[in-house]
Amino acid sequence: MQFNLRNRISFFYLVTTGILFGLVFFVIYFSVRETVYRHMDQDLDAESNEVEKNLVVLNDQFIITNAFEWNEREHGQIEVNPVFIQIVDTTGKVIKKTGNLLAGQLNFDYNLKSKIYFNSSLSGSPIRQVQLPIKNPLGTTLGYIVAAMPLEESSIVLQNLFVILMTTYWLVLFVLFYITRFIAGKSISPINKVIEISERITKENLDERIELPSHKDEIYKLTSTINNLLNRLEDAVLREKQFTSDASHELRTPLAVIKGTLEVLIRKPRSVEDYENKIKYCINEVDRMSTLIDQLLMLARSESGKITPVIGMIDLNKCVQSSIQRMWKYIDEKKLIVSFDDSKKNFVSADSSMTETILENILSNAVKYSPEGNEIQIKIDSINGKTVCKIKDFGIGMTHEHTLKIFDRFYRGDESRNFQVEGNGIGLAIVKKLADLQNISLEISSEVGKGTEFKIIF
Amino acid sequence: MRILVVEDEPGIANFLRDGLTEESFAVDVAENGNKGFELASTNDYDLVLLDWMIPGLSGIEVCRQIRKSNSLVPIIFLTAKDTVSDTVFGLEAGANDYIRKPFQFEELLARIRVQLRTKEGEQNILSLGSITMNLGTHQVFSNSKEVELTQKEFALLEYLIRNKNKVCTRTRIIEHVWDIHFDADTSVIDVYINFLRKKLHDVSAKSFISTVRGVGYIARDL
Repeated sequence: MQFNLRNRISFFYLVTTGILFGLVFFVIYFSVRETVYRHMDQDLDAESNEVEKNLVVLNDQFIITNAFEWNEREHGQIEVNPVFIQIVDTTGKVIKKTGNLLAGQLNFDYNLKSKIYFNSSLSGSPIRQVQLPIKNPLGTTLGYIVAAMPLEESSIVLQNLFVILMTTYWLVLFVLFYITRFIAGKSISPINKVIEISERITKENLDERIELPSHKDEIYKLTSTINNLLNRLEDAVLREKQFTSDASHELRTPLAVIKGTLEVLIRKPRSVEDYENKIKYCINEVDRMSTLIDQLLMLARSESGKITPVIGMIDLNKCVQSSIQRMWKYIDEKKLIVSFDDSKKNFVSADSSMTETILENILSNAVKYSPEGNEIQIKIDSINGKTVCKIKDFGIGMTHEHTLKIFDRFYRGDESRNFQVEGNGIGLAIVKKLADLQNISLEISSEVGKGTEFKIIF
Repeated sequence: MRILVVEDEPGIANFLRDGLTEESFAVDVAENGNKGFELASTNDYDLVLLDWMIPGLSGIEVCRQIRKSNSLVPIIFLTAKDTVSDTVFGLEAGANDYIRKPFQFEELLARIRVQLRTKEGEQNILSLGSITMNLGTHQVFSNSKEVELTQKEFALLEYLIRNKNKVCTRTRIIEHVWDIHFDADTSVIDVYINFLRKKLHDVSAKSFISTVRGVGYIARDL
């Protein structure tokens, strides 16, 4: 059977309390029984000792010296606290018995050689009995004194006690079961609430949170853990949403530009020059779009782990040079001076094409944000046993908070927007991904108006 | 009619300026929100085309600030945001209309004209005496004969007819017919008024554009 937590808690609680209560009731019952028997046994002891004291054995004849005692009221009747006494010889033959025994006789057990108390019965009624050997001064057993008292009242008391204890036991267990079930239900109801709200939260209402309980207990911890998980999930989903919306915006904008430009163009007949200019402009926009699509695909592949780096020892100087070469058109356009000292050999373990992409993207940023005729410094150093490639420009720079977001997809600082620098904010996101894939770390330091320095640490 | 375009994407701003200028509008472009609001509060525009996502003040904030300054200039949002709640949000911020990117240029023109209609329920046809102007087809007729006008002449005539029977000062004419790059030499108005009079006087008997000496011009329904 599948128990839910609530029933399981109450079940275990019930079993434990059941065993404990059982033990307590057992102890109560048996200690009461013992007390009752001990009292009776003391009485029987006194009676039988008295008989023994008043008994004289002469030539195998048992003589009661104190007839008054023998004929006492308790020995003559059976109504109020009677005491039965019987004297038997070693063969078990009854020599003498008190009047209240009438025709009956007490059971005699040959095997009991010493003084032992035990339960027996007299004509169907329960009695408590003791058997005391009668010995001569030499120690020979001559016969036995058998004394008994009715057990009826005591056993009724014990029986009542037993019934009461048993009834109480089951009643207590029954009540306890419902109480624990109720308490367990109450104490796990916050969990149910957590479950209910967690079930309700989907992609659509990810901003909903579970209310924290007032006590800082395990439920509080559970709830805050789930809430934290939700925070992280929401962040991730929001970032994904933002990315999709940014991507569609970035793709739609060149489309809107092309469409609008062409729509305006065909409204009226124009000069050939006008047509050529606008068509060139549109081709430029198409190029921009295809670059963006290429970059988005690359980002998607690197994020989904579809490309794996081929790590080997590569010549870093060569990578830097080939990326400078590829950017040469733009460097030349802005008459920038790129300084790079390749006299020292630098080998690092990395993927060569990925490293080139990283260098090219960072260099392209340096080129974009440098004023015409400025310098870009590329240096390769060895710091703490690691090879560090530094690319430093003296361009517009950025604030510290922008440097924190620069690797986010589609992030572009206000500076870059205001300066009308072309770009889509995806290059550095690719750089970050490719660096992560090769365990290359990136550092950036920048100051507004002074420039930016990227460190690529292999 | 002078239009302010607040748009950070140079490609879009460019074709809007070209297309609208061809339609005889004077167009100013602001590439961020702050500059947009600055221009809107210093010049008397007939309409504002506002992009939502722009650097600096957002389109929504620019719209609110313009309304705060008690300006009733028609504002049309141009935006890639396309959910119903965005539309409602934009309109509630005080915009008159909302057009989603990418849009058809013709549709944008039609919506601009709707916003420029005066309260008397005027359509795309303006008239003054025997002169009628079709804003949709950009044609001007005088006594049912078509008259060829340049963009500026057309814009000047349109402004005068829209404000007919009211005195139009030189400053206001400059503000509404020429864009911000025009230096404030108002004598150019006299030159264009002359052109207009010539072109239209050839076919019409009476003078309908009168000079208000030292102030400006007035177009009268005769």
